[in-house]
Amino acid sequence: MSAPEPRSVLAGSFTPGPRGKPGVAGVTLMELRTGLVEIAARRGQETALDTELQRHLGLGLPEPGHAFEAGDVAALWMAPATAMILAPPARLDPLLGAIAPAVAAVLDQSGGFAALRISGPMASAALAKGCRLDLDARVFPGGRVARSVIAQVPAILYRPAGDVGFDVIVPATFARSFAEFLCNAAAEFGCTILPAGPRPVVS
Amino acid sequence: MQQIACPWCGVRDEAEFRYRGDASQHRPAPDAGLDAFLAYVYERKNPYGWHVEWWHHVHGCRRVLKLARHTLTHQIAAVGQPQDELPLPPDEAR
Amino acid sequence: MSGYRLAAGGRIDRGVTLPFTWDGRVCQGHGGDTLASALLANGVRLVGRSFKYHRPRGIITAGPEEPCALVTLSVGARRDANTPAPIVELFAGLQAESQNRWPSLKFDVMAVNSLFASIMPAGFYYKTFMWPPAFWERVYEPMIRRAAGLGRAAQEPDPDHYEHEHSHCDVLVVGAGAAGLSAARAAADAGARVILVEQDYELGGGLLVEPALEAWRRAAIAALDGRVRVLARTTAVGAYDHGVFAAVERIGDHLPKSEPHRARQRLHVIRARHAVLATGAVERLVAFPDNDRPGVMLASAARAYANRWGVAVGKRVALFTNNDEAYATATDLAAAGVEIAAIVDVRAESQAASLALKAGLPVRLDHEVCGISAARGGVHGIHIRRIGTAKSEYVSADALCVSGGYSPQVQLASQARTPLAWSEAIAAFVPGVEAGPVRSAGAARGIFGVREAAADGEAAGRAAAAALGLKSAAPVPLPDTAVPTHTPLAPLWSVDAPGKAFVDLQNDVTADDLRLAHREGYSHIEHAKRYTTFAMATDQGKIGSLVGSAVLAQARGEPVAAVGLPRFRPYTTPVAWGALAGADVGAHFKPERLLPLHDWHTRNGAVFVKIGLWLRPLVYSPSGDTGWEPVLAEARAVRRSVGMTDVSSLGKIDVQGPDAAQFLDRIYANTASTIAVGKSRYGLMLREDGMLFDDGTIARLSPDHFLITATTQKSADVLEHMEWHLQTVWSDLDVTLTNVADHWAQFAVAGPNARRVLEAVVTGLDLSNTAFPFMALAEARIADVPGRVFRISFSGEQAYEVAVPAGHAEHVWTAILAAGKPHGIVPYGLDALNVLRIEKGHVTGGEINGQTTPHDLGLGGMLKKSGDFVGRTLGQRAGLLESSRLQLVGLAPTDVTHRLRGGAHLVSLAGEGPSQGFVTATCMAAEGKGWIGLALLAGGRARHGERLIAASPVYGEAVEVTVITPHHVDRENARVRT
Repeated sequence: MSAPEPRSVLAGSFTPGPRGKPGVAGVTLMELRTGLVEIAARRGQETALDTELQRHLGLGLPEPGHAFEAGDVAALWMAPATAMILAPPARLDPLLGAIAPAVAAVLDQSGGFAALRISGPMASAALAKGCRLDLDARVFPGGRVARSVIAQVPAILYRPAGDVGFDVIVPATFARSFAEFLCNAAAEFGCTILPAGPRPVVS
Repeated sequence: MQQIACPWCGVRDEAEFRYRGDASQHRPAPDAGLDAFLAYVYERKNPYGWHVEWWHHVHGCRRVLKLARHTLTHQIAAVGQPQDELPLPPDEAR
Repeated sequence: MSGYRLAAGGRIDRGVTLPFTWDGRVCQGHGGDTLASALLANGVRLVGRSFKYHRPRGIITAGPEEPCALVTLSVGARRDANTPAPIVELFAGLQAESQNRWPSLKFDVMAVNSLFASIMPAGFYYKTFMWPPAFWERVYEPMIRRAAGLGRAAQEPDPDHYEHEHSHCDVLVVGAGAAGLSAARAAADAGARVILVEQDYELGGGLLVEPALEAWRRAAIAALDGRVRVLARTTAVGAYDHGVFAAVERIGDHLPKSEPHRARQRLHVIRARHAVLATGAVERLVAFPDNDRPGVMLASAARAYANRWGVAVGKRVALFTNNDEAYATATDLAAAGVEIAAIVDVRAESQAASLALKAGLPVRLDHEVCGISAARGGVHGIHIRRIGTAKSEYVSADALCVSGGYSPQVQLASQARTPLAWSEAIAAFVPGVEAGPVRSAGAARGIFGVREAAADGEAAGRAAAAALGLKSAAPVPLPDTAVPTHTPLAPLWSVDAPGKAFVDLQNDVTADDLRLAHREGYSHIEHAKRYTTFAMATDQGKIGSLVGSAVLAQARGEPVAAVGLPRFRPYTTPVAWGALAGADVGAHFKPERLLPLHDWHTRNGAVFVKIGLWLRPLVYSPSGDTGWEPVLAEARAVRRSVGMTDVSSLGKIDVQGPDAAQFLDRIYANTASTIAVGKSRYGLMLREDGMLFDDGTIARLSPDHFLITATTQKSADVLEHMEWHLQTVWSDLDVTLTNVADHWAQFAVAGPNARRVLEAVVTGLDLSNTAFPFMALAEARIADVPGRVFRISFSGEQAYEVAVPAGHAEHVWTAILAAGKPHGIVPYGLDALNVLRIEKGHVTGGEINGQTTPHDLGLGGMLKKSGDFVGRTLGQRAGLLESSRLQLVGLAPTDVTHRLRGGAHLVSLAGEGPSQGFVTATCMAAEGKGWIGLALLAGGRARHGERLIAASPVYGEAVEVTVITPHHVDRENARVRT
């Protein structure tokens, strides 16, 4: 017996293909396959954690409301001295256990969240139907992160640099409701669901 | 919809927060006795005017904030960390 | 029949003919018409019956302030009642009906109310239908509802959908008249993000009735293109704290059917840093006798129908005014070829009157209208008299245009906490000192004249931008209009003559009603409002509330400024429930939380139950049978061999840090710091008042690392409770709390064969009873997936809980089922789980109900004797320790065939006396026969063996029960340790 690949909570319910208004794709949705690790520095250990993260991942602890992204790794601010690391599981496995408990609490959250990328010209218009935050690029530019609630679902919202849309990370048990909200919100703009895949790498 | 300027997350809707009431109350020392705990749990001023309050940003950074808020106008004079002493504007004459 | 379509003029598209029906009669309108303009063009004058007296009513206004012409649109599920006809955009095939008439509009049985009007004064309902109280619900209210009412709502589910949008801007401009257009342009020129909302389907406000200013209007709109978010058909309905506004966008109301995939209406929640309220002003009525007769209309409305829609409201039109502005109605109508019967002006002299006289119009200065002659329900003449005299003169006319002056639309400003101030110049309230980021502009603050309003709007837009630190750009071009000189208006509120003079046309409130309210002591404007129902109708008294205040002021002998207006509250106009609910309806009312195994449960016949947001398997019953048979089969499998249930919805909080143990000692009522690494303990959390808050397990993974569980229902509350205490009370402690609930799928494997089953799938862990005793925990591989195994039991059997990352849930679950197959393993749902815990006397939400203490539930012995913890001091209050309190007991019916009901009250065997407690949980026993239950009974622990009656008046049942221990099964708790 061997463990299979973890199964996505959206598997079987978020079928690739067009949705809503035919003939246009104002919004494109894609489930992102990613590992997640939540890291919280112990009191007074922020600098030590930053150093550790630099060593293991090549990026540090992000400032409030911001993210670092390099290659296939992104570090999103979650709370003071706390970050969520998104990366392929193979990159994260060495991290678990590598950072001393005296420096930070390091917790695998890969099963706990689903990540979706929302892109296309009407992405923010669709999100605005449930998201309370101002997503205007002047206010919430690339590299910004916010934790909020979207369509009654707690969400981590990240806008990667390079105008690629938004990454929204929601608790796994809410993922289907959230995906349904997105499909409904995007229907009037025409919506395309892409096959799930890894987070596109920033070049 | 009140707008609360979270020091960590920026200005957010009050719907992201859980109101936790009077922040001028401090939990008594463990051996302070029954009366002190009764006052801590049950006695509230319910002022007409400025009020120091706990607002827990449960749909954001999950930090508990201390607010100086006017109970009539809903004006927010200050937002701080839990241990901050917030300066209260004077209560206007009624 | 008196209105008609003018041969020329208006903004309508005469090339487009739109058929529609009115009360079944086929009519025709043109592109650009509203239902109101089309009805007037078709000669329809009588459009409804009034609310209380069923008096015939016509169209009074040309906008959303309309109090009378409320109609029902469409049929079937799309039927929409109480819509003001002037805001309905005409489309081909529109079906409209009049309201509040039976059997027909022209012959209305309830019009008899009018004859008894003298015995139905203000406060009539309060005075008459007082006794007996029970009659209110059963007799009076249905009767009143039938007699006085508006349209009926559709009974079917709404086929359209609605949605919300969260919108943001630097400057919100409400109203796209001259002031609003200029404000938006000035703010946008300075670089501000601007949203402009306009309730009308065309931008321009008052400009739409000024053909000469069309070029300026077009240029002003074009200047916004691409820079300002313009939302037409969007009404700002509320101003809230901190610059938040609500606005309803009507996306599909003007279409026969909403477009596919598009909402019918969208509620915008707009967060604006600054706002310019350019909401204009509304003309007000004058309270003279019979001022409600069809054919009486506000002067500005009559002008709008002529200039915007090419409709004359009558063939021979009279005007009653106290101001110069209203003369434009007479001159424009005269220019369109309509005969002017008389211009009745209460003032002794006026510049506008002089000009009108020069133009040959019949002006009667120093006169007032003291009555209406009506035939077939409508005006056919007016009675006028010189002010201060009694003798009246009859003037033939089929329409009367009325102007009592203009009231700035201050609702939003007032809601935004701008105080109102009285303006003598316009005899109306205007926004007073504006200190905050909300500014009024143009007619909304009493600045009249197109050029003046545009300039005022520009200044407001500029000021908003400047306050945002934005530099102003070049001046906004203003319309080139001659500045007319004005003779000031003469305040005019009511005419003292016999007959019903209405101040509120929708709720049928007269000037006399307000005087009566004052005589009876309801002199405060808010009291008078509620006593008479004045300004409480769907139009909120936009054209009459100031008149009502003035009449009340006269009765009180005080200035209007001292009386004020009734307080404005959201919404400024009626809002559809659909818009308020948005997309959060039906299945989407709340998000659903699905277990990681949801699909497996579905495929395997689970019947789901909704608990909070969760969907959880209640029982696995492919046949759909939710009776006791499949439940007991599941529970018995656990008692006899082995079963497995999905407990993934449990709250799971990771607690780490050097002070973690100390923190948990203070949060839990029992001790966490003495738990050995690799062991768990049952934990109780109290509220600070000493009541039980939640229970769960505390597992120690390493000296500074714990994992605690909370019940499904309380998991969010528990995390908040812990965070709050950690951050505010014990911020000196270095502890990290992380919600890991969704990462871990967790299954309970329970029954005498549980170990045998797990031994087949668990590697890296010796599960033998000595190596892995009750309450032990360890990391292990389960079906080759790294996870954790806890030896804990909720069922009372030998049991384990395995936890694996949620993505592996199905793999591990099916592997355990396969391993358990030789032992007859079954999955079990919540019902079986409940049977097992009731049999064991384990408590859940039914017993931890916020009013019980650990002592009440027999858990007092778990509380630590020393050291601080939340709830310690107040939990020691003598009253909470009394043995007479409701205490947990078990129950069994004396006759095992009798059913026990949850919620049944326990009373004496005679079935009498006060309730001594109540049943919290019941089930059919899996071990043993018949029903068993748990209950909270006064002094219950000392009453085992006593017989009582469990009375359920709801079901008409009284069952004799015996009080027993709550621990029905395995009282010694030996099985969990086997």
